Amino acid sequence: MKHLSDEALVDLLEGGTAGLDHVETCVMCRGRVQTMRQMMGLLQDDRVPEPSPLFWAHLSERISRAVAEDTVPTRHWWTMPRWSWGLAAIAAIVIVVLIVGPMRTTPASNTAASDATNDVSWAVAAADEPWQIVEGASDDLDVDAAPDAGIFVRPGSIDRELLMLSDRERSDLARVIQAELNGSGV
Amino acid sequence: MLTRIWAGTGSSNVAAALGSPGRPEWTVTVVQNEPAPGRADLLNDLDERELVRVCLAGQREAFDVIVERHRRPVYQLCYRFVSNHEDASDLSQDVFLRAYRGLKGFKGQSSLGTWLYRIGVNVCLNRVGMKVPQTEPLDARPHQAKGHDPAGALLRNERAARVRAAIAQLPRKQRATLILRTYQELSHQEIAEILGSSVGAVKANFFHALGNLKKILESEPV
Repeated sequence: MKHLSDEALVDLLEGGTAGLDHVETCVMCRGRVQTMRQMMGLLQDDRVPEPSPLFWAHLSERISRAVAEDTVPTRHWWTMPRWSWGLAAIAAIVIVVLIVGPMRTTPASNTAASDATNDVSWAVAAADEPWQIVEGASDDLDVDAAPDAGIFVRPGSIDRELLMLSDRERSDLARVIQAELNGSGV
Repeated sequence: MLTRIWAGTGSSNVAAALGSPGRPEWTVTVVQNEPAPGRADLLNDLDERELVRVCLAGQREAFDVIVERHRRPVYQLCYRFVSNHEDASDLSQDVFLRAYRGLKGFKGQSSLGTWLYRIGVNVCLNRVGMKVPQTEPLDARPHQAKGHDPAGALLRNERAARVRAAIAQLPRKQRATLILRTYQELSHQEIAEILGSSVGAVKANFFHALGNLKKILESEPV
């Protein structure tokens, strides 16, 4: 006598009818089905304890925080088009200006500051019109009030932007920072 | 005029006109979006593929919605592998974090739930391979159902603990198949997608898992 296959026995356990006639006459196959039913009965008796209602919100919050601290799942910088590198460079420069700007203590008419401005102008010229727009917009911005206006820097974003710069862009950025530091007397 | 719309979750609109003499006047308008509930509602209306797309476009709140929809089954899956609340919570977080990192790889060929289960099974099997699962003390389990028959409840709990310990001794694929089929109530087809095997192999694994479970339970002293 040919016995039922493992698959056929599982189908039978789960309500299938194929092989039912065979099971009625075959002691071995009937025993296997009974064993499976017995085990299923034991398994279904065990339920996962329901956590506290607050747990789900807490879990979501934990995950959200962990995700926020993780890297962004977007494309790698080396796969991005060249124009986005330029934008990243501008963004990095804006961030630096926003941070370094308030540190300036000497008046704008100061000679050192004037020299620094010339250096910055060189970098501005390199970054062309978009940079001028950004610089014009951010020049008088009160950095302390920026978060209230919804402008804030996420942790790690400066590092990310800097990683996207080319060697040339990094070199330019270094000159801008140096000029700003000279101008602020730091 | 340069207008920049700034995405945010505040309640007020902020407009700032910035400029200085000798330079062209540029107006920067910083507009904070409508209050968060409107945005959240919008995300809640999206289907899973759209949520993934929005999340990949940089809107991380979309992933919060994905978490909210799938956290319970993912947690329950993890609990089945480790049998304690603390580890199940840690594993659930790990599953979602890996999902977030790998979201770009989700092609939509299976449902997001199936894809999360696949990650979950891998995370759990890796974890239980390194660590012996510790079933937490019965009185430490949150919100354990309280019946009117304490003796009966105790007996059921002890039996459940024995069964869990026996499941933990099953070979990896049999264990995963048993959990996915019996507790998560997934179809054989879904389990095949999760484990990367055929429906026939899943049914065979399920059959052998039940047989081995009986052998393990019989070999242990009651």
